[in-house]
Amino acid sequence: MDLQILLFLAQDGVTNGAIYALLALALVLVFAVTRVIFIPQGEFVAFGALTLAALQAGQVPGTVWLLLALGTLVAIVDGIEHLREKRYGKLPPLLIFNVGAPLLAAAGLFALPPTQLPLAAQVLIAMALVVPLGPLIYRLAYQPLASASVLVLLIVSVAVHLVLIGLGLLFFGAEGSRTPPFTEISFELAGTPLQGQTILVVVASALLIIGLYFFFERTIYGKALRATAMNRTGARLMGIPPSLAGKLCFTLAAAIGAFSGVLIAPITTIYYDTGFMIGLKGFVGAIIGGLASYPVAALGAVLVGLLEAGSSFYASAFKEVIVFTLIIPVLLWRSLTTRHIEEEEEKGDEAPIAGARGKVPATWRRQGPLVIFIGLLLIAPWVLPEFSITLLNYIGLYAIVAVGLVLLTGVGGLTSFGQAAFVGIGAYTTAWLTTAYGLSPWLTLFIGLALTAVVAGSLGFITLRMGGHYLPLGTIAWGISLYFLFGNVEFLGGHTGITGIPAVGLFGWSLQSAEAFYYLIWLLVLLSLLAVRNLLDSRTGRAIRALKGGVVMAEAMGVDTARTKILTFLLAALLASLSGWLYAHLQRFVNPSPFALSMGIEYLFMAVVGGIGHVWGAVLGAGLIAVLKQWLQDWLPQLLGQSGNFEIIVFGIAMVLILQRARSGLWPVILRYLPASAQARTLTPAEPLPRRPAPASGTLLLEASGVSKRFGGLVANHNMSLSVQAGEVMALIGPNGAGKSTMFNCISAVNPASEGKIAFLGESTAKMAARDIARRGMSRTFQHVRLLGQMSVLENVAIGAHLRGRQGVLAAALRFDRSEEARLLAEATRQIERVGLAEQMFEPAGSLALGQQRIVEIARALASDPCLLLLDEPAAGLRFREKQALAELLKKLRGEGMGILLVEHDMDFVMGLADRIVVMEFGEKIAEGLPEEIQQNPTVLEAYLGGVE
Amino acid sequence: MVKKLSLAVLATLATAALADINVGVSLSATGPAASLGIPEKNTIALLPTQIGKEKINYIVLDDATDPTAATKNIKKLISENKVDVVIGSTTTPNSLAMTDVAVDHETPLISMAGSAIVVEPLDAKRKWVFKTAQNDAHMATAIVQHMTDKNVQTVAFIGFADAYGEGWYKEFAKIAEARKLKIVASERYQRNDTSVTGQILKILAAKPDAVLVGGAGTPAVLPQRSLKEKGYKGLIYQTHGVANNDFLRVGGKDVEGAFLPVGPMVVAAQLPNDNPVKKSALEYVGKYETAYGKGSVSSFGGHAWDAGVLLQAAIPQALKSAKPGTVEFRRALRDALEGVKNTPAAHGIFNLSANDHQGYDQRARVMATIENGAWKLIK
Repeated sequence: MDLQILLFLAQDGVTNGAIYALLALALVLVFAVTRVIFIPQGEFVAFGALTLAALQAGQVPGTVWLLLALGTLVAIVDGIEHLREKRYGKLPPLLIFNVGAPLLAAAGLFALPPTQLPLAAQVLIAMALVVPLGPLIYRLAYQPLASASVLVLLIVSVAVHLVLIGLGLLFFGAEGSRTPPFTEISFELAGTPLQGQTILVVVASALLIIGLYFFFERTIYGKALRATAMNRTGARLMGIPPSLAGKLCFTLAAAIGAFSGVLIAPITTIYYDTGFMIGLKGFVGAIIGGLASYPVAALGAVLVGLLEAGSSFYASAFKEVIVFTLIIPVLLWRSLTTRHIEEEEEKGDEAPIAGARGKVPATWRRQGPLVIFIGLLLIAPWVLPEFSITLLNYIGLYAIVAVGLVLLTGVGGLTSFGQAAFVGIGAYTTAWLTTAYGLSPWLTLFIGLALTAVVAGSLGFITLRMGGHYLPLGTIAWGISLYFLFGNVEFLGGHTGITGIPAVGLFGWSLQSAEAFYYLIWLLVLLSLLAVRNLLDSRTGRAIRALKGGVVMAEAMGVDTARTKILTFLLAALLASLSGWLYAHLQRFVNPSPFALSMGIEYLFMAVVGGIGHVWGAVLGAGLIAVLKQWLQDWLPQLLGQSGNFEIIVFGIAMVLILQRARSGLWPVILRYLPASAQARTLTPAEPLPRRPAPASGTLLLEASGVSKRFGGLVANHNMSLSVQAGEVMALIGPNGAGKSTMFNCISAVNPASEGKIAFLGESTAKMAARDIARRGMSRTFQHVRLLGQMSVLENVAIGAHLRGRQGVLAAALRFDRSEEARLLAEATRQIERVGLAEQMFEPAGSLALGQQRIVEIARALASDPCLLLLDEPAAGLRFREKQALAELLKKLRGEGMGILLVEHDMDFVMGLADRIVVMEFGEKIAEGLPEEIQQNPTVLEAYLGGVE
Repeated sequence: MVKKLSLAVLATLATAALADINVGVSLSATGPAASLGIPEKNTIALLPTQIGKEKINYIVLDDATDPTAATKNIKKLISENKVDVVIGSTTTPNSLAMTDVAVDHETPLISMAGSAIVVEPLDAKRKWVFKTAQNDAHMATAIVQHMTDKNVQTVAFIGFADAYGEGWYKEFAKIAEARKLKIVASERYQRNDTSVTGQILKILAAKPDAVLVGGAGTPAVLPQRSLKEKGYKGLIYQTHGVANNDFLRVGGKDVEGAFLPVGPMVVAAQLPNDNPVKKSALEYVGKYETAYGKGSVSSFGGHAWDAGVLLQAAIPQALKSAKPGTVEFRRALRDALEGVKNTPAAHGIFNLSANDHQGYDQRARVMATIENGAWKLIK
C-alpha cells in the first residue's frame, strides 16, 4: 500500500472521525447532565442536513410543523401547570416562544422561500428550525422521567428515535439529499488532492470543540452544566434546577447534531435514517472516552473513524464486523482501567413496593391466575380467528427472549442489546443443518443450544468483565458483528437467506399449521417462564438477584459473582437461541434482518415496557408491542386516510407515554389488581442446617499485624494491628475518617491490604477473595446498608445462607431443590426471629426504617453461621430500646462463643458491650485496652476532644 | 381486544361475501428498501378497481423491509382478508419468506423483487410464485454485452452490503466470467454510509476498465461521485435500481455518462414508435405523473403496475371457471397467470409459461445513459 492511499484513508478517517467526535461530545454532555443515553442524537444530524436541503430546494421542510406541534404541546403542558399555580404572568411569554415563534417561521417560509438567500443565511434558518426541537423533546419526553433509571431513560430514547425516524421518512422521503459545498477550493498535499469542504469539516469540528471547552470553563451556563454533571444533588442545592440544565444540554446536543449534519451534507448523501449509525459510532467514541472525558471521547471518535476507513479498504464486506469487533478489546481495556463508582450513581428511583401484609393466600388463589391463563391459551385456537393465533405465535417467540432479558437485565442488572444475535445463532444453526444435511429439527435444537452456549460463554467471558456502560456497548458491538457475519457467510445464504426449512414433526405429525405450532411454542413459553420463576425463587436465583445490589455484598456473602454473571448470561442466551429455533421453523425462512441490532433493542423494549423486574412482564411486553403494532396497522390507515408510515410514529409516542405513566413497566400496574401478594409465603418446617463446629471460647480467630493500606499516594491505614478471640466483642473506634471501614475492608478482603499480615483461624488471607473468607466463617455488615430493597426481608437474609446450600440452576428450575430450599429459608427465619424482625419478615427490605435495615444485615450475616462477625456501625439509626435489644443479642452471641469485631460511634453502646477496644486515628492505632482503660487514656481523649484546652 | 378482533373479522367476512376480488399487497414502504417500496405503494393506488364486472379491493400493508413482518402480513391477508392473490414483496428476502405461506394456502404470489431465485428453479413451491421485475441476470447480461462491445477487459464491482448488492454481484459475476470479463475487485458498502473512500481506493488500485455500482436509488450516487473525485476515467455502470428522479437530483453532474440497463418505461418517450412496449409504458408513466407530479415516476413503481397488468390479463380467465374467494378460483388464477401471453406492460411484453414465471424477453430492457441530467436511450 503506498503513501498516497494511506494519506487518503487517513483523511477520510479523520473527516468522519471529526463528525463522530462532535456527536461523542454531545452524547457525553447529555449523559453526564441527564443520565440519558441519547440515541436520537444522530437524527439531529439528518434533520439538520435534510432541512437545509429542503430549504434550498424551495420546499417548506416538515421540521416547521414538528416545531409547531411540539411547541404547542409544551405550551399546553406548561400552561396547565402555570394555570394551576396561578402564575398568569408566565403565560404570554410561554405562548410567544412556543407557538408564536414557530408560526412566524412557518409564515415566513411560505411568504418568502429562502432559495435566493446566501448559503450562510440558509444554514442559520435550518439551525433555527432544528435546534429548538432538542429542548422541546427534553421537556416532553424526558423531563417527566428525570429521576427514572438509566435503563428506562434509554428505552425512552429508543422510542424517541423511532418517532424521529418515522417523521424523517414522512418529511424528507426515503431518498437522500446533498447540499452544495461551502467552498469549492481544493488543495494538493503530497500529491493527494484535498477537498476544501473536507478541511472545513475538520477545522469547524475542532473549533466547535474548543468553543465548547470555553463555554464550559468561562460562561455561567457552562459552569452550571458542569456542576450538574459532577453532582446533581449538589447542583440542585446551588439553585440550578435540573430541568434547566436538561433543556440547556439538549439545546447544545441538538445544535451540535444539526451543525454536524450541515457540515457533512456536502460531502456525502444524507438520508432520513443516516443518523443512527453515525450516532452509534459517535457513541462508541464517547464510551471509549468513558462518558466523562471530552478530549478522550473526541480521540476515541477519531479512532473509530480511522478504523472504519482502514477496514473499508481492506475488507469492505466485513467493515462493520471489523470495526465493532476491534472495539471490544478497546472497551475491555478501558473498562479495566477505569474505576467504576459502584451502584449509587447508577440507580434512579424505583417505584416503591407497598408492604405486602396479610395472610398467605390459599393455593387456588395464588395459582388461580396462572391456571386461568393456561386455560385461555388452550382454548384460544378454537375461539380466536386464525390470524390471532399467528400473532400469538410471534408473541410467544418474543416472550421467550424477553424472559431471558428479565433474568439478565431486570434481575441481574446486566443490560444486553445483543439477544437478537443469539436468536440468530439458534435460527441459523437449525436452518443450515436441516436444509443442507437434512438433520432432524429436534437434533438441531440441541446443536443450536450447544453452539449458543459456546458463543455466549466466550462472549460473556470477555464482555461481562466490563463494568458500567461498557457492558451494554460491548453487547451492541458483538450484536452488530454477528449480524454482519450472518450476512457475509456464503453457506448461510448471505443477505438473501436460507429457504425451505422443514416444519417440525412430532411422532410423525407435522407441526406445519399455525395452530399445531402454537401449542409447541406456548408450551415452551410456559416452561421457560416457570423455569425462570422457579430459578429466581431459589438459592442461585437469590445470588443472581444479589448482583444488582453490587458485587461487594454478593461476594461477601460467598456468591461467586463472576460465575453467576456468566450463568445468567448463558441462560438468557439459551432462551434466545430456543426462540430462534422456533422462529426458523415457524417462518421456514431465515435471513439476517430479524437478528439485527434494531431487533435486539426491540426485545429490551418489550421487557422494559412489560416490566423488566417480573417474568410475566416479559409476556405482557411482548404481547402488548405485537398487538399494538398490529392494531396500529389496522386502524391508523382508516383514521388518517390511506397513506401509512404513521405506525412507527404513533407507536413511539405511545411507548413514551406508557413509560411516563408506569416507569417500572405495566406488569406492576396489573399486579395491584391481582389477589396474591408476591412476597408472603408459607414456610414449611424443615430440619435445621448443619452448623460448623464453634471454636472454643478464647481461640484466636483473627490476627492482623502491621496492616497498611494505600490508595495511590493516600495512606488510609498504617501499621494497624488487632486481634479477635472467640467469645469476645472487640470494638474498633475512632473519629470519622480514622480508617476504620478501610480496616474492615482489608480484613474481609473487599479491598486487600497493601502490606502486613492478616490471619483468620490461623490461615493467611492474603490470597483469598472475599467469598473464600466468608466460606471459612467470617461474615459482615456494611456501613452503607447493602440490601435489595425490592426483595423481602426473608429473601435478603437467605442470601446470607448461600454457602450453606449447594443446589444449582437445573435443580432449581425443576424444583428438585425444595428440601434444601426449605432448610435455607427456615434458617433465615430463625435468624430473623432471633434479631426480632419476625413481623417484617415478608416486607420488602427497602420499606424498613434504616435502623431496622441494619438489623436485617446482621441477620443476613448470622445466616451464614459465622464464627467471626464484623459489624460496621450496627447501632446507627436505632432507637434506645432497639439498641438495648441489639446489645442483648450481641451478648448472647458472645456467650455462644462467637467473636465480634465492631465499629461503632455510640460510646455508651460500645463501653457497655466491648471486652476490648482498639482506637484509631489518622489510619493508625493510638490505643488498645479494656473499656475503662480507654476511657482514661489521654491520647484517646485528645483525639476525640481535639484542641479543646 | 378479542371482541374487537372478532368484529374486525366479521367486517372483513362481510365484505368478502360480496364476491369481490381481494388483492393483498405487502411491500416495503418503510425501512431500508423504502425508496423502492414507496413508488410501488403509490402505484397500487392507480391500479384498476374493477376488472370485468368484478370489483377489486386492494389491501395494502407495509412490511418495513423485514421478512418477519412480510410473513405476518401475508398470513393476515390470507386468513383475515381472504385474499385471492398477493402482490409482494419489494425485496428478495421478503418475497422468499412469503413463499411458503402462499404455497401452504394455495394463493398465487406476485413478487416485485429482482433476484431470479424468487421464481427459479420452478419447483412445486415456486409454482405459486410469479415475478414482474426483470431478473437481475437479465439486466446483468445487457451490461456485460455493453461492456464487451466497449472492449472492457477488467471490471470492478461495488454494491450494497445487502440482498440487492449480493444478488447483483452473483448474477453479474456468473455472466462476466462466461464472457471472459475479469472482475478485479468486489467491494461492499452500507446503503447509508457517509463515505466509500476505502472501497474506491481499493478499486482504483486494481485499475479496472469499468466499474459497476450495484445499488438502488440515491445511495448509488456516492461510489460514482467518489470515483470521479479521485480522478477515475474508466466507464461507470449503474443498475436499473437507480432509475428515479432523485438519483439524477442528488447525482447531478457526477453521474453524467453512467450506463445502465433499464426497463423501457424509463425512457418510454424516446422509444421508436414501432417499439411494442412504448404504448403500454407511456400509459403507466402518464398515469403516475398525473397523480404524483412530473418526473416522479420510477422504475420500481412499474413493477407494481405490471403486477396489475398480469392480474387484468389473468382474472377474466380465472373467473370463467370459479368464483372469487374460493380455492378453486385461486387455482384457476394461478393457471391463468401461467397462461398470460403477449401482454404489453410497463417494462416489457409478458409471455409466461409453466417454465417461466417472469415472462420477459430482451424487449424488457434497453441500455440508457445519463446525459444533461436525464435518462437517454442508447439506440
